[in-house]
Amino acid sequence: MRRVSGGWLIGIAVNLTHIGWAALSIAFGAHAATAEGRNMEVLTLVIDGQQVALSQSPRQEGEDRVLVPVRAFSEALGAEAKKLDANGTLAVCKGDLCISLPEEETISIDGEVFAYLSAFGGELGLRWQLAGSTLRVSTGKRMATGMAVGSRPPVFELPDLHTGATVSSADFVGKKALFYVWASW
Amino acid sequence: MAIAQDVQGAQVAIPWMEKAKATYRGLLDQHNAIGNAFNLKYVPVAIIVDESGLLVRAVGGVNIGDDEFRAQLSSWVHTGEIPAQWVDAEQPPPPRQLTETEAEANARFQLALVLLERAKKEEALAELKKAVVLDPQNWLIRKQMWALETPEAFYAGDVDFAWQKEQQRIEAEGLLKQ
Repeated sequence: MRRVSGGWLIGIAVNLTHIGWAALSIAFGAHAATAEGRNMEVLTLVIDGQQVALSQSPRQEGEDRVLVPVRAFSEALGAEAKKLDANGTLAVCKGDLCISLPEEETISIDGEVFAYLSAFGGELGLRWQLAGSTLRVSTGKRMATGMAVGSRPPVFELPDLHTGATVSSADFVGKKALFYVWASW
Repeated sequence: MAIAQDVQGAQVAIPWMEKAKATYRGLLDQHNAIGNAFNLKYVPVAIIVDESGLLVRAVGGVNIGDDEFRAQLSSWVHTGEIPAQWVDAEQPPPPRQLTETEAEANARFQLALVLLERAKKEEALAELKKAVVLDPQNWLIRKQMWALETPEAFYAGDVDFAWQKEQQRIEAEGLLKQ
């Protein structure tokens, strides 16, 4: 396992609101140097549309590699981080499912074990996406109704009230939009 | 963009857009597409979406004509910062599975919309009444039922809120007897 130090960044990553953190990301660049001299960006975590503050925030390494603190991230998903054997091989377990984490997939940052999300996320049934400095994770559990903040509403097509011409919500991508839902009654 | 949730069509919604001297575009959602997609049980709700098409907030109970809301909207458009009032505002229910009774209520609501389009108003009202019993907190269903059954309380001048309050009391008593 590699070891790196995150320094002061980790301290301020905790307990910041999404807005506050976004602002700080811009102000400070939010980069922590690793032992290998590579940059790691501290990420805001959103699970199923809800922002989640872990004791250590996920990190982005390079273009698209995501590291998550194994224990806290597992707990946030209702899973558990376990040591599988005497060698200390780590695994993320949920129900009957245990996904072991090869040593090369883990890294220690300030004493906390992080793992690449790609090492176990897919097998746990997770989908995830990096959007700026936000890591959005979907567990797939909450897809039936409603819309979570940060989620992508389904595209809808509705007729213009006066002309009947079809208008698509997709026409507004690239602009800030307000869809004000009202009724005559 | 203002989206009218009106099963009775554009003719009941347009007079209100005109009365509000709306400078924004009006759309018609006659089949509850938005209600279904966003799990809405009441209106008004302001659905606010950013440039990348992601939901910023769905703020319930705001009036598009309200100066304070317009100021918040303008501030967000110019700075990108989400006003604290939106964060604190009442939200639509978080995403979840519909309960079996809610799902049946929705299905009856959709059936009522089809019946209405086929000019079967009494049959539509019967389905709406069953839907309201199944999902009494769904105001999209209940108030559309009221507006169909008692249009004079809605479309003769201002909306008669005293009538709605009394109607709600009568229905609550009816539910208790069932």
